[in-house]
Amino acid sequence: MTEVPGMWLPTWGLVTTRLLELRKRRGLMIAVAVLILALPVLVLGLRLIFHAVDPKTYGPAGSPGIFGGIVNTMAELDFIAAAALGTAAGTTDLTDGMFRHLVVTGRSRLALYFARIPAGLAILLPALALAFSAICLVTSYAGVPQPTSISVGGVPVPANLDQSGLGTWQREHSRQAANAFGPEQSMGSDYDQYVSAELSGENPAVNEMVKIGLWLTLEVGVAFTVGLGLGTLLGQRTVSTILMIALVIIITPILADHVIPYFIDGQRLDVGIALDQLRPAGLASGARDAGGPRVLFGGRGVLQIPPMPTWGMISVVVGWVVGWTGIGAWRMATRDA
Amino acid sequence: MNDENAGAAIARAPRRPGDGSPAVETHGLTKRFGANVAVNGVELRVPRGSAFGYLGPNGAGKTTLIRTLLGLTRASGGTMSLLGVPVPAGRARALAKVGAIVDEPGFHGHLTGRENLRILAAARGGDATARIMPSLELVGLAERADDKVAAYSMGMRQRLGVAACMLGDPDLLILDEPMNGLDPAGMHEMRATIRGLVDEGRTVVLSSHLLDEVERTCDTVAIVDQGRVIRQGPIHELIRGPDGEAGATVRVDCAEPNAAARIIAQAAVAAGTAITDEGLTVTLPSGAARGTVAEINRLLVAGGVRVYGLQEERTSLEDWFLSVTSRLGERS
Repeated sequence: MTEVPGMWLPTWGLVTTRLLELRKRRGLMIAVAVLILALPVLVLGLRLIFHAVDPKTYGPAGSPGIFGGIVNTMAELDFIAAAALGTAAGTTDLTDGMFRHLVVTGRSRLALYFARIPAGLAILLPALALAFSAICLVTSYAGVPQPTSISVGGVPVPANLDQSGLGTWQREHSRQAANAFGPEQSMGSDYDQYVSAELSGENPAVNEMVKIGLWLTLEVGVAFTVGLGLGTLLGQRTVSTILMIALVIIITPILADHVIPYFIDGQRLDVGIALDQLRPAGLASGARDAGGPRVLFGGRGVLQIPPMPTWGMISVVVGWVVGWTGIGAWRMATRDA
Repeated sequence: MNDENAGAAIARAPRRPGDGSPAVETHGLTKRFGANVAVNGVELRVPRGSAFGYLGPNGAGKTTLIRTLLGLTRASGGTMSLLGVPVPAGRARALAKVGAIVDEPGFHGHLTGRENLRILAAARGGDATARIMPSLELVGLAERADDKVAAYSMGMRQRLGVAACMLGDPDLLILDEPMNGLDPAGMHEMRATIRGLVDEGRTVVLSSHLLDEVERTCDTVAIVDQGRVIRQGPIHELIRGPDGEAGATVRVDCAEPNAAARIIAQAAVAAGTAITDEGLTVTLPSGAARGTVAEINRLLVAGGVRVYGLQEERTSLEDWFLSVTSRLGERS
């Protein structure tokens, strides 16, 4: 196909050179690597060493609690890493004076913008995959053995029961079931409670790990595209990065933890809240709070405010990605060089 | 060997003059920033295959005009074309054959010169990647190609900017102050490079405040002042003026000025003579060649006048520039 410089679609060469420009930023790459890789490598590495040296004092390196704790913390750090890379990608040509050279080539400004998305993700996703794979491997192969029973309200209940299996067990062990689930039993809510307890005590299954990996990928992708759009809009890397960090560590927690009367729908427009609600069930044990169960990727929300429906969460996430990509592309296309 | 080392030729046989359209043409081109009119109804016509100087005092709107031509900022009014292609409508097609440096050339300091050009070559597409090394060689940066740009001097960055211009094998180069930061040897090299590019049939538009450099490098100039092009044309014609006024005088240091004046008047080789306390001053006719000075000397010697010295004094581009721009008003 003949290459047309005016086409908005980025070429392979454009993407690879954008990748080159980003990955050669040593300071930024170190920061991204530290934020994404350091936590799992350090925590799991030390636990593996301690367990190998003194297995009586130190338990197995992996456990459901460790898994949830690391991944939940990683989610925050990865968001910041992706946002920082996005804002850098959105501002670097402008601050270095390269933007003018690029525009003068006649290449579509939209192509120049869109080339940054795969280039940024090509850095983030392998690092994320590496970190998450390490966590999954340690949890699966150097973790605690899967329990044969789980504790519900302090009562041991056999593990790996499906809903009908739990019902059978409740009928056969009515006294223990009353202690575990209360005197008024409802199969739906009892099973949710059972699943919750099971998830908090079991290593996540492979399919659950895949869901968690996809959720982390989504979070990183959202953070990068929003950071890229914001950076391109403002043209200032530091301000953009500070705003993104403020979103994830200040604004989202405040909005998630406090119900503002008559503004709940507004609170739900925060992408951090939507992503929080999409958090898979395997991470619920490490989340701040276990709110009412919500099924999506088998997960549930962790918010104090009433959760939004699935289509609402997806709409907010898609809206942020499309909206900020559109804003960034518009600014790129109209900016004086 | 990868593409960028393969080395597509840059210097080549003279080009065809294209479809006869000017390399750059504008009609009523205007750019406003709020109430400030930076480019005011500019009518510009740059002939193909020429070195065209674009001159003006600081703040006259030189860089803004270039930025508007290149689509770096939107025009507020008027029409323009590059290489016969109307812009902004055919911007991508036109810029494919245009190379430009605007203001101080900026590059990614953490990348090498070669890597910066790789990025720009990827943006240009086509076989631009194959021209990376020839471009670096053309500007004398081949040996420093793998050094980080952060370690480059200002002059080296300027040269890298010219190398970036050459990636598209351009028919038109627009260079904004390309001599900035260059030492005398670098300026000499840059001048030779520009002349070489013009000799290949390319058009070079050179914006500069270094009038001497423009006079040495360019054939044609436009003078811009307060956003307007106030004069344009070949340098020697502009200096001579519209009324054909002589452009040069010769001061004759001799023993008998009156006799010398008579001899010169009889031979009709001068437009006029004047005797002052400093001696005899001969005004050369319009368009006189340098041989006229030698002819005056021969006539005086043949007429028995002892000649101690002849000094030609021509109006320089700088004198003329100051006389036609608002800078003269500021100085007086």
